Amino acid sequence: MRESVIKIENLSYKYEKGSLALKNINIDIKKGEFVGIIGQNGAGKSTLLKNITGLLRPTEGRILVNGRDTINVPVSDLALEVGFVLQNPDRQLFANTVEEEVAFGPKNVGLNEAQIKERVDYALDAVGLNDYRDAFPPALSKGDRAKVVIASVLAMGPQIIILDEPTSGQDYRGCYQIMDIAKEFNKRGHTLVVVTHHMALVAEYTERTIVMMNSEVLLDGSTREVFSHPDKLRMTHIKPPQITEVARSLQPKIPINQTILNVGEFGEKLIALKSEKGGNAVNAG
Amino acid sequence: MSVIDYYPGDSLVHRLDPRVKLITLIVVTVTIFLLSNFFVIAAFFLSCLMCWHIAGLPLNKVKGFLKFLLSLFVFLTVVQSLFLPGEHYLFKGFFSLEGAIFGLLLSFRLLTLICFMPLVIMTTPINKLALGLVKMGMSYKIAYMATTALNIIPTFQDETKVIMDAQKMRGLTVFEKGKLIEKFKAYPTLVVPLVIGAMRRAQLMGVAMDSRAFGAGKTKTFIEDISLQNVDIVALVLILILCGIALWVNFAW
Repeated sequence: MRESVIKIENLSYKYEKGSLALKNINIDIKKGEFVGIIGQNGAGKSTLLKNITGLLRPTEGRILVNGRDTINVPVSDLALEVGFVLQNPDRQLFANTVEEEVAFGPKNVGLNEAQIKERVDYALDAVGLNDYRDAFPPALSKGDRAKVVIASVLAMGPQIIILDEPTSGQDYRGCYQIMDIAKEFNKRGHTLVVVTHHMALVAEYTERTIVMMNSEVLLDGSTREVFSHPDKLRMTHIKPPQITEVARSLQPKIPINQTILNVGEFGEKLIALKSEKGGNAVNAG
Repeated sequence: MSVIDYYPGDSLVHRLDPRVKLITLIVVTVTIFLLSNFFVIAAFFLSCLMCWHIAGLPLNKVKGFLKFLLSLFVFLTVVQSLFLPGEHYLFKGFFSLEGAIFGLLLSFRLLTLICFMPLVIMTTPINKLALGLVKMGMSYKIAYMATTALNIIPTFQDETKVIMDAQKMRGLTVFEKGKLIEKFKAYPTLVVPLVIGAMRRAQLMGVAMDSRAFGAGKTKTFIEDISLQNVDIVALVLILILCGIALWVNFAW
């Protein structure tokens, strides 16, 4: 059993103006997991992330990060363990060059020159912006601006990285690039939590999915399991990826006894079936 | 809740014609700047507080704003005391008493003045304010600019908070526990994203306005209309008389 890095116990959060934004949330995220959080706007996703990162403090319940109750931990200390990439990259870029931008975090933490350089190199390399060190951040393309922000959070050296809708407003290629970066972080041992509205990306990249609805957790399980409950997902107006629906609609004729998450998987299953039954099943479909 | 939000209500102050409120604001501003007698200014200040009470505006909701003003006033008084020559000095040649008194008076005058402004803005819906400005002869474009500026300040406040959050995640702590000089040094991390964001937003807004033919019509019509009631005229005359008396008391005595 992997150790849990974020443990949320009976978390409730109420905004000052009275509305209950989170109701009795219990989530346990293990080290090295790649978690997707989905749900409609206003379901409480961002509020949850802000609670985890200490930007908001729980009204009830508690959050343990690496076993430590975060209630009295300052945001800036917590940021060393949990990196949080906010939604809009334009809300934090201020420096003259990409390098300076990424070095800002490590500098704040009080690292020395050599350490800062090492962190910056690592972060820029991880997001693939090595060639843009001297570029003026606001002048970069939207995708690259998002990458700069991700690098600047990565440079803080957190084990856990939380991305709040990193793909919003990105084109198709940008979405996949950013998710690839996230996947790469995950491979390097980081725990990843990603909020997104792109179901196909969730299905393709994450191993675990949490669905939120009306301030509560509706579903929490492996991504495959979550997408095998289309009826429940429909309650919160989420549709599984098209390929999942296609595979399901073909169900009696093409017996794939598993929820399909991406096109590659579907193809593999078809080929496997074909070789099993000498091609009859597929031809019949 | 801030000093530039509309605060709904049905008080006398709320019901007054926006034009009356705007004229009052102008007259009171000029009067206060002419005044030099502490007691007359105090009378204005008290009547302002009374209006706040009548309008049912919560003073405690603007605490943060008042705190900010206080720091400004301390700064003003110190600077005046430092640079205004006088006869009595706190130290040898530094910090004149006369300067301090002048600074205090200036601060008090400003405070009174500033307390009158929310009284207009917080009790008038923004579209009525624009209507009032236009009916007073201001071109709609300028009235729109003025009211949009008011409208956009809360957006900026929210934006600033988000930016601060983002920078906190990158280990910026000076805004919570840093020294003043460190805060000043860190301001670019807030101001640069804010300004760039504002420019992007302004550009978008311009396109949105153009696409809806802003300014195409020669005469602008409004859904709502306003007309001066008896109470408006009485209030305006009363305020003019009071300001006149205040000036007379100030200069005759």
